[in-house]
Amino acid sequence: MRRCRLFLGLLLLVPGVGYGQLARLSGRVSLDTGWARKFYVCRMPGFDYMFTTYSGLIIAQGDIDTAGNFSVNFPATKDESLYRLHFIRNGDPASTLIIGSRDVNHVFFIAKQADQIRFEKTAGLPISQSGISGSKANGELNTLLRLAGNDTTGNNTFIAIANTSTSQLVGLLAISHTDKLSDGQKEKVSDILTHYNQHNVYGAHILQEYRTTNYWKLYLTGGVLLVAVLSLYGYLFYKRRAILKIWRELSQREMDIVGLILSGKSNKEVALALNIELSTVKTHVNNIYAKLGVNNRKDLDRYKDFINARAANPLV
Amino acid sequence: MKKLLFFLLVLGAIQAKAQVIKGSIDLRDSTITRSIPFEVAAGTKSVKYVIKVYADLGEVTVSLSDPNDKKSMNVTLGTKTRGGGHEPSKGELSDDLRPKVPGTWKFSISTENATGRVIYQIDTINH
Repeated sequence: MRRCRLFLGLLLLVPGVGYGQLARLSGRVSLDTGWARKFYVCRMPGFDYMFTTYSGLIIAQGDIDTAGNFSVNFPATKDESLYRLHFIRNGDPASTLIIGSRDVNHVFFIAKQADQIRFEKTAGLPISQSGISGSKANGELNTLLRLAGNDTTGNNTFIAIANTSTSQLVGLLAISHTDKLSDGQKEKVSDILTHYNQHNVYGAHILQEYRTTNYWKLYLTGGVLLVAVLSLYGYLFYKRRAILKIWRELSQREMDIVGLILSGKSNKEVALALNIELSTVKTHVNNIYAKLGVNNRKDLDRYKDFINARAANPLV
Repeated sequence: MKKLLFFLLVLGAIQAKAQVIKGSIDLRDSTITRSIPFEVAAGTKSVKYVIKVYADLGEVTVSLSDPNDKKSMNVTLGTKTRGGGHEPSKGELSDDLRPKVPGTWKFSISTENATGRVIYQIDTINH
């Protein structure tokens, strides 16, 4: 029993293990007297919520001590989730969002179970995304949000982030910032997403969109293949009809001679088989070559099918 | 000559002065969609805006769209609590835009059974 208590005690002392299904946020802020000594943590169920606020999103809150320190353990999942930490000014409601001004009151961070996230704000400086630290994902998030705030950041930059980010959440957020992608860029994004967890809740819309794109691609490829096969079939069909038309210009005797030639007989053997003069066979062969547009016996191979069909049905 | 130059400078300064759109919307269990359009001429230097939203009940969404209807800002303030009740929310949205697309930009304010107030001011500074 004592050993068990000792183990539990040690477990609580080891940060990141004792939190279990929690993550920890701590920090130090220097806020002027206009700000309340409180902080709030909201979990963002999707990227659409990044600029949505209501009390129901708040999952943890706490007080900031006189030295500016604060900390809280908050529920976290095994997978990365996106959170927003915000502060309020005196008299403001808990769910207050200030955007764009120097008094911006929030930062975003990524956390999963047992993560320890840190936020620092030094005196005189505004609340800044760069104050968040604690994991590689948050470093990547800070970079992404800094670039996203710049009008000149283009699709290729977001795609590059999605391609190199170690955090799928950051990658998905980067993709969500892209706009009017070219076909090549779409293909690249689609390729990147094949390496992502297809059940990531933050990517539901994105993954669905690109899956749809892939289906569309599949249908397009299938359509092109079908057209190609039908075209080939049509070509072969008309070519065969053309050959058949030429074939039918031969007399019965000439067809017999072609059949014998194709069975491997020489002119002499053909003459013997048909009981006609060799010179007559030669004349017939010349006429056959002229009508069929061939130059030698080997070229007659293409009419083999007609000879076989004629053998099966003499009316052909 | 100096007087003329001074006069022209003053005239220029007057022209460079901001075109200001300001107002407020009082909400009482209101479900409305209100557009606040503003013109951005080619060469507009900046558009400064401040929108303050106080929501005691319901939901208020504020968005900013360029002439191509591309949203460059979209903020929603709700009042729901985790327990199913209501708590007020406040939003302060401001920016100093350098718009690249000339034409009619607009703020859209849509509310759903909202009680509260929206106060806005948009300063368009030309040249």
